[in-house]
Amino acid sequence: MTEATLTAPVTPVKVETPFQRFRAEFFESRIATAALATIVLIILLALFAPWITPQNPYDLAQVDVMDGRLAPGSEAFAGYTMWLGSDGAGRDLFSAILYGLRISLAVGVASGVIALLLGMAVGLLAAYAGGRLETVIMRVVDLQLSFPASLVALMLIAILGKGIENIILALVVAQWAYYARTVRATALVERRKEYVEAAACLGLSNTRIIFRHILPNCLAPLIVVGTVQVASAISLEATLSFLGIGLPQTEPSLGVLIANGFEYMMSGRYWISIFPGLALLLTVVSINLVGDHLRDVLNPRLKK
Amino acid sequence: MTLAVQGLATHFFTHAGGVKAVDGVDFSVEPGQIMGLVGESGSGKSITGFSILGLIDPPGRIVAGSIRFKGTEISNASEADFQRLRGNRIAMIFQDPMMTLNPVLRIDTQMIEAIQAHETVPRRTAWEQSRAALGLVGIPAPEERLSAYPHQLSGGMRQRVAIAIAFLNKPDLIIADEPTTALDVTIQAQIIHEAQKLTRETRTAMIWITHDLAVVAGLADRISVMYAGRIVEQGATDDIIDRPLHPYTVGLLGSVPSANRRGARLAQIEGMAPNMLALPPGCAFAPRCQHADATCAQVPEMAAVSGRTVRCFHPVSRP
Amino acid sequence: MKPILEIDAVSKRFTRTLDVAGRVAQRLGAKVREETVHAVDSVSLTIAPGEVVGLVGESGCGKSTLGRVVAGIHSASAGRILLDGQDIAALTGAERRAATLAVQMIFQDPFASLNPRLRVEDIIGEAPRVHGLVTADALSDYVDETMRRVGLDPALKRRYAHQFSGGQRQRIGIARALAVKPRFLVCDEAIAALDVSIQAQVINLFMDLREELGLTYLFISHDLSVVEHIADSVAIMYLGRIVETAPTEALFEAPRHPYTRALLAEAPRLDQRRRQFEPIRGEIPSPLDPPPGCHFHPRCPKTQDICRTALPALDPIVPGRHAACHFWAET
Repeated sequence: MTEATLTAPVTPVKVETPFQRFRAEFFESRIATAALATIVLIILLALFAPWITPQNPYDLAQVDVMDGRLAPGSEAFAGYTMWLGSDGAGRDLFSAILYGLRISLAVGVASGVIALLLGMAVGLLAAYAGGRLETVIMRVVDLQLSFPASLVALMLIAILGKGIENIILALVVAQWAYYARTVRATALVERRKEYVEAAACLGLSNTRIIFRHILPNCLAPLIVVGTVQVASAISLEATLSFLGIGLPQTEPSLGVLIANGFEYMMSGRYWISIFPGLALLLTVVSINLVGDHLRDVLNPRLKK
Repeated sequence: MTLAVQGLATHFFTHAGGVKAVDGVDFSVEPGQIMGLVGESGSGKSITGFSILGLIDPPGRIVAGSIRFKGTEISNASEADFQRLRGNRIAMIFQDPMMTLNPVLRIDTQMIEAIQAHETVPRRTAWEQSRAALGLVGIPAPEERLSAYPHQLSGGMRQRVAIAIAFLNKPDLIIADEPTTALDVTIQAQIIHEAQKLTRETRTAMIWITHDLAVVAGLADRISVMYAGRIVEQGATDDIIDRPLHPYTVGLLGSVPSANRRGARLAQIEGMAPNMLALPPGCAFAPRCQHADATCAQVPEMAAVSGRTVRCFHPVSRP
Repeated sequence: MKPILEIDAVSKRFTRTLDVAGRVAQRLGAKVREETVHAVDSVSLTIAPGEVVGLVGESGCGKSTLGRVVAGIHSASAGRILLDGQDIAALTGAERRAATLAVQMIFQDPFASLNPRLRVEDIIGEAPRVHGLVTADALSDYVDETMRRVGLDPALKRRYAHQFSGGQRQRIGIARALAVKPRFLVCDEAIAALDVSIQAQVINLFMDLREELGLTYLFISHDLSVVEHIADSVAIMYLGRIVETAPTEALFEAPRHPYTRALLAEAPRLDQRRRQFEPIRGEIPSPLDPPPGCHFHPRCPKTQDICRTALPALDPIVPGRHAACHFWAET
């Protein structure tokens, strides 16, 4: 060790970590901050629904048909106020919406996570294998993406039948291709970078290079796509349920609630459809706003 | 006097804190003169150029100083005024020529537009002028190149076209920001040769921003050396290169391999460039300087010493 | 002395094959075809232990590709890389691994060459741990020692690469290579992206490491003054071929190839002021479509008819000196 190398600079530049910068830039946008707060609130409401709501809308003992189609603010037979009114079966709408959110969010997140894992595996395989296998995989992805997701889901449900597992399966099939394409594109860029060459030069195995070096650097765009896809999974599930081919009446998601109230729309009992509809809108719009802003913050090309 | 900059300060206000990217810069350029603005990354040399061109966007802002272009103050000019000036009286050349060139338009379209934007001439005349301009920067077969798209040209050729466009309207001032850094040695030599010839012929003043002292040594009449947002030494090229006085200039010149005996350890400046978010009080170079003492806790003023100006309490004495 | 590394008639070709759309377009008469670039064209070079060989050339000359072939990142299309007289490509198992680790590379870009998701200790310590060069207990100390060797404070090893400046990142890249105890380093424009004052620090580090560890370097650079300073001998490349090799001092004193002469004359120097000479004309031709005969002939001031047709051989001039020019004798 010579003296000169010791006198070389050792103090680091004080820069914020990428997470700190990310956080600062994310919260610069008021609208994204509000959207994120809304999502957190919605998730908390859904999680703690049994403790918040005055009624378990699926416990028939707590539902009174006499309470049916009450306007918002009416008092229930059991004594509490139905701030959002009640539906045709006498269920408190506020309670029904929170329980419906639980199902909608669970379906959206579950299908999103499974589609992400599947798409990630396929996309990485395509990027790293190259050649004929990559061509085949990517043509399948193209084919899949050329159909509207709702059409794919509709066809699958028609074949598989109703049920929460089938809905999730249909949503996964409709969405994995987005993840696969994103992962492949990012992985192709990353694998050409010098740090991957360095890993090869150090004699590290392909598996190690893919999973420890390339994959972690592909996560940022995946998170963005994932956020937006969860929102579209939730609205796709609501669409299917509204059409009556999604979730059954025994597992009423927001889509089912909207469908139930639809017949009363014309008779002036707007609240039965409108309030679950607003809950759905708020959820989907908030997730999309957060997703859009994540994309802006995480995309280096949009940086000043 | 083509350009006189006095006390220019451009600061950036980021969420991580304020950055004094340029903090009190003075210089002037005369017609036909080339000034080399030299500094390392983060020294503020490019921000100085952008400030003159009115190209500072938020969170950046010119907070102080005057920029007089041919006697007119332009530091507070409107965007409309700048649009009249840019490409006409003041032109710029970037490190990446694609900052100037539009990838989807043919070269002739772009050059003719550039001429007609500031002058009413028939298309044919503008085309002739464009061809002549390409010939001036050493482009062989200019007619052919005029009908090409930028992507059909090599990097060196694109930079030549960008230079030709910069000189098109015979501007009074050209600001060139690292125009040859991305180019190969032989191409760099050609570009420097053409730029030098053109400034001499057209009496255009030029500010050549670079990190490479050797480039400006062979090109510039005067050199300003920047460090951490301030000019630390300014003077005639021969004085700066052959008899530097500021310890930073001395260190920079000393760390160039050709200044050292072959195979010997290079004389190196210790440490690294300061973090612009947390500049040391006083002289920003003091933490890396062998001559620093208690007086360096103050910011030294620019002072005239043997025919040039130096911002240092302890200029290197020469025998 | 027996050479540590021999590059034996190595060529590297890159072919861009046509995809389905391209083949259809070709059938329809579009001007698309399979393109082959001879990035490196039958290059031979012998490097003695402890020597620093400078490999100089402009963009597209194939110097980086040659470096990557030597470092084992690309495989050669033809020819062999011999380490201690043994063809690396023919080795298997433990011998192959030892040869892979013996030759390491330092990259140009101090940002792209470090994995942004790893801590410095993992960037440096991963390969020695995976290959079992150090035990798990000793790894932490080993990383500290390696960091100190390149002038980094081991206290910073839990940080990520982006928290360092460009010069420090380049030191991390050097530490990563040193951690597998290489004998041969390929430095590909390893200082080109650094500030002038930091360049000097890293060049000094390279020179110190050579002395302390007995390293041999293939030092790839476009910067003649750097190569003149640290290399023992120099090879000049132009469009995939070596046009001149010589001991450093001899080359800078009396270049024999017209291209070398042009490079030396045109590199900017501190002692030149307002120069007036006419630089060499012309562009570097596309490596996709190199000129026939001597690749340099369209730009050469001495071109004769033979240069347009016949490829000049890399002739020995004096021992250790070669030039690939039909007229090297007439200078």
